[in-house]
Amino acid sequence: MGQDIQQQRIITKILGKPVRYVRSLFRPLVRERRTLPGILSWIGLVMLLGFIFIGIFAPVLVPIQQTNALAYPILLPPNAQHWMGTDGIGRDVFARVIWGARTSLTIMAIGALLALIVGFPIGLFSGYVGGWVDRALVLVMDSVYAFPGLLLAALIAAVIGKGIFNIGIAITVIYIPLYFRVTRSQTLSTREELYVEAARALGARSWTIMLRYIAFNVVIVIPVIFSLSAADTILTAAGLSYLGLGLEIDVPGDWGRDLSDAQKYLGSGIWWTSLFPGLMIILLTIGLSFLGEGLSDIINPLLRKERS
Amino acid sequence: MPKAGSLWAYAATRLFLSLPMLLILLTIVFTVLRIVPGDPIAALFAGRAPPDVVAATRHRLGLDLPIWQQYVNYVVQVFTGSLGTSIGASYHGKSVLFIIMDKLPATIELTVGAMLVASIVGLSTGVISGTRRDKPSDIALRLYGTIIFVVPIFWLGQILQLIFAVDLRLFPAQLRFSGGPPPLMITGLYTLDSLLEGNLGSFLVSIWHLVLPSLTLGLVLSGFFTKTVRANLLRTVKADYVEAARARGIPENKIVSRYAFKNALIPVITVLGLQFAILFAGAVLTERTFTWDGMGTLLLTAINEADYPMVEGVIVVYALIIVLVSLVIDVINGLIDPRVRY
Amino acid sequence: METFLKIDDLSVGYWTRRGKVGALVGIRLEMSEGETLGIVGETGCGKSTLGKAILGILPPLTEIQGHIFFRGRDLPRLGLEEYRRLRAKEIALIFQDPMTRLNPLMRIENHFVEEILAHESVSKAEARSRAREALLSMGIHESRIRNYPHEFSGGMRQRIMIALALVLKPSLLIADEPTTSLDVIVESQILEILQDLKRVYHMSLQLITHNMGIVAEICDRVAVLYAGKLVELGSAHDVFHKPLHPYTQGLLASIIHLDTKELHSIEGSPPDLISPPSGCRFHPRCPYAQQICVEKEPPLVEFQKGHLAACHFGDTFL
Repeated sequence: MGQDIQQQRIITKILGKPVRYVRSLFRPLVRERRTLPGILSWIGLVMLLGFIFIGIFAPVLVPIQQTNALAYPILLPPNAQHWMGTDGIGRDVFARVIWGARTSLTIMAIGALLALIVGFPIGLFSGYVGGWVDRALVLVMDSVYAFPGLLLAALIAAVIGKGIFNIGIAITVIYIPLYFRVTRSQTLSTREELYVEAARALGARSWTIMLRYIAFNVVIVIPVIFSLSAADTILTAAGLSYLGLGLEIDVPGDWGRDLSDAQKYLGSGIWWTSLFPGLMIILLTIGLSFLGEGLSDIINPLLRKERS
Repeated sequence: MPKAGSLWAYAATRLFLSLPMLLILLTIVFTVLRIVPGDPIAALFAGRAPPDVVAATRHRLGLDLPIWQQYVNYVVQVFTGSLGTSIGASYHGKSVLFIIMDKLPATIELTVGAMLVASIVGLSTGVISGTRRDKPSDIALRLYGTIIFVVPIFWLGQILQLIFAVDLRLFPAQLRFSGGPPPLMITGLYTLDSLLEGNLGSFLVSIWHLVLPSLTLGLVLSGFFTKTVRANLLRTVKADYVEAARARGIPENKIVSRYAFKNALIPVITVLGLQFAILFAGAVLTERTFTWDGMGTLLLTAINEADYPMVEGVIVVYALIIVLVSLVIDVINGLIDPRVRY
Repeated sequence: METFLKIDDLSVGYWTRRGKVGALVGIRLEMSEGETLGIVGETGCGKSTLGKAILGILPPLTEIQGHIFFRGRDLPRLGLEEYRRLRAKEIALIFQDPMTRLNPLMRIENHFVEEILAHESVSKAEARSRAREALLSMGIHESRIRNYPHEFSGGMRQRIMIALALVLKPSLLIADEPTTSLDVIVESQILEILQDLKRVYHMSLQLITHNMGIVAEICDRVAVLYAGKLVELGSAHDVFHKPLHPYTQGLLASIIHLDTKELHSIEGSPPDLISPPSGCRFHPRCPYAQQICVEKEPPLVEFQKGHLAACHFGDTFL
């Protein structure tokens, strides 16, 4: 028992560094706040938080769900009652745009979470066992990665059917290879690190060490991959909806479908049904990619420095 | 310069090595379409046909065989170049390969146009940005690169339509051709066919129709070029050989073009290969926005009609193109960079 | 007669995140035609900066003050195009690391043709034949002229670099540690080439190095730099036999006692150029340092004819 505690203490000591990393994930963001990547990250973070706020409080901000046709006169240009006008079947564009944030963020969260849940263990396993299993998995993941993600997602969406959760699943397929790659490369480098060797020499189960260690190392990059892939998630989800493979018609806000509907009226110069949902997508994706690029600029040198 | 013989040998090896990737994609598509519940034949007849007709159709298409046998048949079919016949409503009974060959040129025309726009816009902005580090023009172009890349393609297409087709009436918003019959099918590429026909008028009409879709797809992709070219230029303008060239009194414009730019281009070409996947995905969306009758439209029709042979055929062709593109990229890299050994 | 090369109160500084780095401070130096001048000092003392400053190829945003007169022209004040025409044509520079100095995508021949055409209006064929000649004179067979840089070894690349530097017959060659990254056999080959240049062509050579052995072998005069400042200047004979600056003494001691190629045996490490020590910059490492060395910066004094040093106690070492 006492020996166990002693061993635990040593391991904690060796492992101490990454624990501090995780705790200090926010510290570089604060320290770099005056540099360009820092400023970008903060702008992105604020934008993302804004959208999350809108998404969570959509029912409060716009209590009436815009699913019913002909609730209002159709194709009204923006005015005092309908800030962004009404669409082709008489729904308030503003209301749908606000609820759309809720929809998009939900799909994004499902997609990213599932990709992490699937990609992380496979990447860990693949990097740890190595050999032909690893090579085969890399080949499969690279093949998927090289193929147009939207097409694959469209295929899956068409087979499993519409709905927020289903679209989340369809999109996940595109991002599993990304999480797989990152986890695998972290695993490979961690496996060779001195502290893993040291822990192994101390008689700790290397599997446990690996898991804790890689988990910590991956945790650092997750915000980066997440925010970089999240922008893409939003675009793919909207794209699926635009192609008519996305969500049911009774979803109170769906930017992609609204843009698809707007298509019919473009020829008559109806711009508001297209402009506003599109702007919302752009604002959200810009926020996410600012955050992602800023973070990767801040975190990458940090990781490099630690490794050298 | 590598000898022509070794280049071909290299290309052949690469092609052979990409077979597993093709097989993996085929397997994924097969799995998604056959293992996941749902009966395409029942969907096709929508419950209106008697059970024996349904059974006969299933038998004719080999859908009553065990899954593994279906898989083997499917793979053999693909590798012998036959993609089967359509079971969808729109193209029922027609050869999948034939229909794809009919739609492919439209997509090729669109993607080539888009690549052209993306390279011209992306390379020039990238060079400006990379050679004027941290000046206002650089910061503006970096923002452009980041923002344009996350703009939804279909939305950009709609906005361009609103401005240039609806408001200014400069370009058409739809279709590949108008004002008469399209050029005779030779290659299927309207621009090329009209030239082969010697009809300058219809050449201009096809270009005119191509402008907005290419611009839409090309602009979105250009952002990636801007950023990659910039990053690589920043690396190569600091390179030792650039300093040495300057010490030899080589004029600055030649240093940028022959030393910095050319060396920066090699990694750009490599990532270009990855961009083709995004290009094809974007083409599907662009085709819908501009009612462009290509592969993307075909795929959507096939998906909606549960036309499994057609869906599989289209995916196979996409996968083949991607394999070929990455091969071509490797060969181009080999031609530019003498250090690449075959 | 106008001076061949006269560096007058040259200071070079550049900005980093932490502040301004004074890479060179108040350098005064003359060089006459046909002379071989050695510039020695530790890594980071500014000796490479000096070579690049003469050629005007310091990175953008570097601040240059003072004058560099070369055959009557003040180089830092030349127009861009005029400066460009002077490089390789009148002053050539060869670098320390030949492995990375050639464009990997360009044949060796094109490096030459491009350089010749950048300075002279001759035909391409003429440029090619001159390229062949230059390479042959460096012992590289003409069958290899159409090869790419990666197909050559380090020593061969350095000979190519020298051929590139000499093809336009410049009157001054600056060699920045030309042998540091090469192995010993190749090093002696390269040194032989440099000595031939001196003997046969009477070329003026500025040899930047940290290797006192090489200096003793081929230099007429020696300038010793420490932390961006010129601390001693004199004929090779004088400096080697009667070093007046404790830093030079340290440099010499390190080769005599340890017979190493590197100069690590002076106590301490080179100072931080962002906030250099007060007074004499060498005082923290100097075995003879007194209070005055901390307070007052020693001027460069001519202690005997043609032998200058910046040390308060220079005369005690005479």
